[in-house]
Amino acid sequence: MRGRLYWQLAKCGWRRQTTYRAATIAGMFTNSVFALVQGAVLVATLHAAGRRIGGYDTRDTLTYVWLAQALIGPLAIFGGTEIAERVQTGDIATDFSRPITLQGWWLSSDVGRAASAFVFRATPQFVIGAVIFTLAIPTSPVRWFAFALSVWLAVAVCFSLHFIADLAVFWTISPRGAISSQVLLMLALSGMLLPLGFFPTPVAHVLRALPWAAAVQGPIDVFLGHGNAGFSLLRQALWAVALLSAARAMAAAAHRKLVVQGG
Amino acid sequence: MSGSDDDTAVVMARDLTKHFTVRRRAGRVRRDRVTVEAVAGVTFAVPRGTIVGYVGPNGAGKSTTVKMLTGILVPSGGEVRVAGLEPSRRRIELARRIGVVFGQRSQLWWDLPLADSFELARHLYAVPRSRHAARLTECVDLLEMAPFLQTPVRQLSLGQRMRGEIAIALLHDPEVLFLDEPTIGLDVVSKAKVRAFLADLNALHGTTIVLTTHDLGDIERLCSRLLIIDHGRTIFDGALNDLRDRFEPNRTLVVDLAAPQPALRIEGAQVVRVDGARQWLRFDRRTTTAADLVARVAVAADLVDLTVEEPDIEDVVARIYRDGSAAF
Repeated sequence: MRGRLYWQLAKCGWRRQTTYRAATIAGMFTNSVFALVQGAVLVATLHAAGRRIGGYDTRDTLTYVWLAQALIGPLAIFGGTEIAERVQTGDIATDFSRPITLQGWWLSSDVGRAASAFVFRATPQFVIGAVIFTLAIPTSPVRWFAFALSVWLAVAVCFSLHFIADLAVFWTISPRGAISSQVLLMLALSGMLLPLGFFPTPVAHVLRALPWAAAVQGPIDVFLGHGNAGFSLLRQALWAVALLSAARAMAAAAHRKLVVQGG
Repeated sequence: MSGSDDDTAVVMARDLTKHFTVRRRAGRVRRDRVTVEAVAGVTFAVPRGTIVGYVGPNGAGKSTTVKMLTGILVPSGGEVRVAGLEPSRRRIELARRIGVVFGQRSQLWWDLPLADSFELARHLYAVPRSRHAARLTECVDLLEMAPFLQTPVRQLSLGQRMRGEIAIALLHDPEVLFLDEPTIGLDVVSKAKVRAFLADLNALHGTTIVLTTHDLGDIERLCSRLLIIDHGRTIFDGALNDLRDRFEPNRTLVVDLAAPQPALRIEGAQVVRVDGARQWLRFDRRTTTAADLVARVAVAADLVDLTVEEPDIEDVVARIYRDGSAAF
């Protein structure tokens, strides 16, 4: 019974995402321009450094750039959940009047949103890159399967990071601090702006162990065949479980201390 | 549901309190913590199948009470029971058995057609398909929603959206419906539709309704019982007529005489206005009945027509708000 509900919620999330076609096209355009610039900079860096950094050659680097840009939509790197907004307006009260946990409701619809963004935004986005450049595209079905799994784990990790940052509003009144810190950490530490392989090896090791790497670098590593895919998936899965549990506990704590602003 | 003294009470609050801690500036850096008592010991019981109006001025604690009754807010003290459950502890279980409409909030999916939200509600409340369909048809008919079922919610007018909000709160056939200002901002026609629907719902399904409102028209049309809260305390709990009797015992008898004449001198009444052949006589219904008065007027003058005016409920409530519990 519950499964049907989550499925329906995901469908609503999917349909909602598909409503905004103009935004999807505008987003793809922005991401493509950024990918061209980022690609030029990274390839120049790569050539200056002797055509290879941390396992990345030119083709891997360009693939990384277009893949990372493609994942922005499904992972909602910049946009969090709407929860902070709903807490501020008091709309959160309606969320708490439903027979479902806050996390169950928002995670299910986010999964639907991510699926829609993956099909209608990420896929065409990556195809644009693949048309312009020669990219490293996996040929093995196993690799594709592992990649798909990895993207879903990344969605769960990303959702939880956003969810936790948003829920901070229950304690801080203004959500801006927590949310902008979270976006900043995400950009800096996840491999979104620079592949973690480009960092000095000891730093890269530390970064790979952090949750943000599980959000972006994880699926990219699996796609490119860097490192052990099984190990990478396991690390992602552990982060997904840990963060989902943390988010759940935090939502429960938030409910306990709830003060709906604005009466 | 057995053995308790509130057997028929589906909603019960006893000495219910809620205080919030607010930080207030008390210098350059220093902040003082100030405790605000939003609800300061409210007690009431709502019998199954009744419609209760819960009114009070802005900031009186109405919405806070409703949020405690629906399990959204945890009370600071006192006891609450709704459908036999303690709301904040068994929020999810309770949510299946009650419906909630917040007039200024939305349960609907902003970007999607209204029908999508209704379909989701079926799964959210695990309502069997056939029962959901029957209920939905009923709501769509009574609230006249057919023309805009497939319209995205963001494009609906406020009146249309509010009908959608009420419908979605009812699709799982809740025992109790909580409405927080359901007619706020609605035009006269939409208000009338919403009120008629709620009255039918109560009559047909026996749904208990607790509604907060500033619109006393809602109260007059719907509520058999009225709770007035101010500064977090109950200052009146009773029927609408009791309210009038208690706070405004005066009535006015308006008489049309055959010809204009000077103000009548009638025992037990006082003429407060004369306009041509029409005179207004104010009397205290605790000491004089309208029938006696009419008889006396008929003796003193040639009576053509008459009406008795009830005090305007708005005026009565405005006075109670102004004077607060000092009115007692």
